[in-house]
Amino acid sequence: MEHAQNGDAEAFGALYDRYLDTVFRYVYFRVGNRTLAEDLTQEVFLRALKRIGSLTYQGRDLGAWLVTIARNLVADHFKSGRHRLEVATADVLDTDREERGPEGSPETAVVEKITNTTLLEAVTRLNPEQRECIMLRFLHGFSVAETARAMGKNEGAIKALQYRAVRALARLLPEGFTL
Amino acid sequence: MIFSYFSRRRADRFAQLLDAPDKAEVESNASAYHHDAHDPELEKLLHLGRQLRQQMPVIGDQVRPDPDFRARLRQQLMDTAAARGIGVTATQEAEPDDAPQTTSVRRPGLRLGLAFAALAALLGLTGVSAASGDALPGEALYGVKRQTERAQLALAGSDVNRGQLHLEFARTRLAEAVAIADNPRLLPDVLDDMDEDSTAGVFLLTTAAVDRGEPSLLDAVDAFTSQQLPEVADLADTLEGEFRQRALTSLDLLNRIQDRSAELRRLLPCTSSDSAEVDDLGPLPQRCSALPATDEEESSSSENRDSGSQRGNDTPDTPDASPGQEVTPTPSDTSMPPSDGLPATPTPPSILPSPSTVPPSSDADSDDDSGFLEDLLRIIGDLLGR
Repeated sequence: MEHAQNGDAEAFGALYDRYLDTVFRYVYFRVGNRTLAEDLTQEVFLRALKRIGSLTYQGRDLGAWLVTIARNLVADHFKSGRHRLEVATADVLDTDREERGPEGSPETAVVEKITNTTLLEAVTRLNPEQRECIMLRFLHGFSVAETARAMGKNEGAIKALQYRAVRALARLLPEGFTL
Repeated sequence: MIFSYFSRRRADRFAQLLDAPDKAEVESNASAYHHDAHDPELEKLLHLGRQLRQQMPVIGDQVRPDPDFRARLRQQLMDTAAARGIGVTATQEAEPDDAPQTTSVRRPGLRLGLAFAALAALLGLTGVSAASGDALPGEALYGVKRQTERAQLALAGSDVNRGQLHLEFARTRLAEAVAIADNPRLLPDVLDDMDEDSTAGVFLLTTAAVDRGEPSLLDAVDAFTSQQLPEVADLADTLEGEFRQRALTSLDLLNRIQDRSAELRRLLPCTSSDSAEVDDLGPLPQRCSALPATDEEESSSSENRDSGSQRGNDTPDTPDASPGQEVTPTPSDTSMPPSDGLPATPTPPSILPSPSTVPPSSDADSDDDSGFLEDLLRIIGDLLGR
């Protein structure tokens, strides 16, 4: 990391190799479209390339830092209205969601291509914050601290969010559901 | 959204127990909270949390960046770093942050961009459609494979390309048929599809050959038949009963195609898309004496009509088509009306067996956008099973 800050392109390449999957996956589960996910992932790393100099070293939080960038870009994307068409095609399980903010639920688009659909379906029915918390904590394997950093919250808030999210998920999953 | 002290304590404890490295420690931690060690709801949530920890990464693993994309972006980043430096060495003018100054991949326009995005996903940039390439009839991904073919057809730039694609798909069908010959339950369906693709491809190519007066377009047809004929014959040999009969029907069709192509090549100079009769394999060859300028016009064109009506016939349609007898452009050739060489209105594909698989010609390059997009969205919709 320090190497990357000193302009070592190869070190940045190593970071890329290590975190590409995480960033791509995060974006993909947010936008539900592979090509769009590639576009946004590209922008994430270009931005990271420019900004890495201003990053203070925080150990393994680097994944969280990249996800923060990705998160902002995804939010920009949804604000820009570029996503209308995809959401329209992804609008399957969306009928009775409680909150339908700009961060809607385009994750539903991937549901059908994926096994464990029951679980993922239940996750997509969570409200956006809870959903993001579950995805970061469990799908991406982020720690509470990393999740807090990526979501711009403190750790106590993430623990509360996580608890509520798992509780909500338990209610959403069908009776007798076992994984 | 008031989170009571009690709730917060539960949330903290939930987080702590969930993140405990192993079960033993979970147990000891749990007993440390002896004052409420027996908490069924917390136990239930912890159980779910641990399941999530196991299962969610499995879901995540199913989503991976495409290897091409991985390599391309890496290269782009290395190039950008080399050109501008990174981190502290980055030049300051690199900020206005959000302008994607490095060759961003696409967005010529939203609709087309999305169409291509969806298309790229269909045509092999996704693991699914790549993996479906080897799928056999009856397998889960076979539908994806066929949908991908439909998308390719919808995108073909010309009838010639479309015809070639149909022939390619017919080859694929034959390979599939050979692969499932041991268990031929689905074989008739596959051969039906093969014949449909063969017919559609030949129709498009012969029609184009006549329209453009280009015999070379028939080369693709001849290459196709010379490759398919022996393989279909071999396939028939391995089969029995009704399946064998079905394979022989495909063989008959290929023989008809081979004869038709040879005949059409020979009589192409005399065959006009204006006046030629059309059957399932495209325009029927016209005898050179049948040209409008001659007196025999009436009789010979009605003769063509006759031969066109006996489609099941395996033999070449025209009586004087016996090999060796050259009907090379004789005097009647010179009597061709000068307008003959000009591209005439394309023959209406009224006999095309499955018009739904062949969208209307998209040769005209304007105005096609929305239809094209709709086609794509429909295909994608089908693909996603909606």
